[in-house]
Amino acid sequence: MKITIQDIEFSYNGFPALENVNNRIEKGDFVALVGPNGSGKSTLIKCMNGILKVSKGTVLIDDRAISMFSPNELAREIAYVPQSENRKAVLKVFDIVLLGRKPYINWKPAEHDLRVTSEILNTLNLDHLAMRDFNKLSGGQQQIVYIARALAQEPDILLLDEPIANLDIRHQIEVLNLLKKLSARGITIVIALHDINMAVRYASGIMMLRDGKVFASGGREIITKQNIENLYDIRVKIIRNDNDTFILPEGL
Amino acid sequence: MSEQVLSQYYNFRKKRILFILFLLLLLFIIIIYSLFSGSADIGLRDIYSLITGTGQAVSRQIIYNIRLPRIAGAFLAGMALSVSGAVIQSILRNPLASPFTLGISGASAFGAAFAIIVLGAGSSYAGSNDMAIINNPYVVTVSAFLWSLCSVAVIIVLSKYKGATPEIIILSGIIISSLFGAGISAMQYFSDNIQLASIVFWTFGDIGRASWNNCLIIAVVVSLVMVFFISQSWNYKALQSGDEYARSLGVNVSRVRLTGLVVASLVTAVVVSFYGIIAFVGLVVPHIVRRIIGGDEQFLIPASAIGGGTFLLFSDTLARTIISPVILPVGILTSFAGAPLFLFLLIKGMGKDYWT
Repeated sequence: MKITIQDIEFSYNGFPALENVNNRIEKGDFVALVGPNGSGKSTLIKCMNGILKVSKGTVLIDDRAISMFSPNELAREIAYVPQSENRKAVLKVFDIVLLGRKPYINWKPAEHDLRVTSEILNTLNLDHLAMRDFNKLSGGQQQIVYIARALAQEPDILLLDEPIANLDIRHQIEVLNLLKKLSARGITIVIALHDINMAVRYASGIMMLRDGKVFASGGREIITKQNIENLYDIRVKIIRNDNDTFILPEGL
Repeated sequence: MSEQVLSQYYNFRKKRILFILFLLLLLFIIIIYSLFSGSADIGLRDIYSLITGTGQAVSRQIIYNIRLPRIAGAFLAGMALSVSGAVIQSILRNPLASPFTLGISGASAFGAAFAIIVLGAGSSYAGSNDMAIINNPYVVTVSAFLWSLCSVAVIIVLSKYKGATPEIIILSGIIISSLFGAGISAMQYFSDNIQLASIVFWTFGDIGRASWNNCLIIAVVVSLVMVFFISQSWNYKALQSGDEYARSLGVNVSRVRLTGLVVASLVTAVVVSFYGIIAFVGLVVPHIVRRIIGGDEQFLIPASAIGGGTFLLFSDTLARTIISPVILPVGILTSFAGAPLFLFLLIKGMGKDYWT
């Protein structure tokens, strides 16, 4: 499904966090949101699925404003993977993933919901973790379980807020490879990322945010020395090698 | 492979259902035990004659009009307090929450004191055994209930207009409690001895006040509340993962939290108005149940309800018989038993990922 962001604005207690944000994201795109801390990446993600209500503008899913969807309808189209959760109650991994079926469940999960859950666990090679306590998993495993839970919503759009921020490099690659596969299957991915090298390597589109505004948006061509230096206020060196681009920070 | 996971999950779910069945069995045993223990000597041997109606009229009177309503009252009150505790802990994401977190106990005790002193419901009449008597229990009950609605109203206003977070709700509960506590102290200061005794006597939670009439009212309320909580269990489960994530699943977070709090508070207020303040059931029982079957509300809610009812019935039976013929108010016993039990759970749970 395609996403159209039309001139949206959002402010926290009068402090503007997003201003005049516009973009179009096509079905199956893998878009990375990059920018310094506080630039509005998380806020934009939360505005895209209605967790936060925009004060101006609209977000359209296939030309239909998200405000026109019922909450359950929207949750069946868009799934959200938070950066982390302050989880208190102890649940099994299976139960956590089953929670993703919530938009389809009224009183209790149907046979079909349990089946979808077990298939997703199987696809993501989480079978061996299914009956483990979620709290006892490593950060990397937990992150993959969060993605599994999002996939249980059978969404067309996946929004992820810094999903690899706390992971070692191996788990980072594992998560991003998984997302790449999902986007190849036609799921639209929007991901907030701090690691700009990973963004360049995996994303098909990049959206740079600074101070709540779109600083630059497009394909890899926007990864220029000048753009990165102005975006983060640092000095960088860009090395291009065959098809790869590496960004090396040099100093302030 | 996914079939295997599925069957593992079915087995896991079966264990939780078995636990609920075990609780029902335990309940049944305690009901039978409770029915035939007490000051009057009615033994299991009398059961046949009681059912067929051939036994002594006195025994029948004791069983049908004293012990049975008391058993029903204890079970229903325990059920209401425990399920409210489980739900409030879930929706406030706080292990210390209980039905009394929101100031219900303070508010209803104030209401009772108000009725006894200002409305004169507790007359200056002392029974032959020097026990303070509340000569108009209905006025006291209604006043306790109406005042406890005040604390519910404060929560509604806070959530509705300020979008209160769980932390703010808990803190405001503490403040409401201390405010009503001050009110009770002021009333007590201006009361005479008998009124003072009536107030203190009322605040001891006591199932001895159970009658078929108040059981019926509580039964209707508890049944409706159970249906409501079970219908909401997936919403509560989503709230456990945080407000933002719950919203992304299509949950109307503020409405679910508010209705849950109000319904839990109302059912608590009903129980407290009839039977007084029975502490710890709403705190300890959901904790024990969580420990055994985990924090999945789909099972936690029914298991806490049955577990709470069983626990309070057991405590009340003990309270009736432990120093027979003196009958202790069960509130004293639950506090005595509950506090060390809770401490034990805390110490045992230290270092575990359980409500960390």
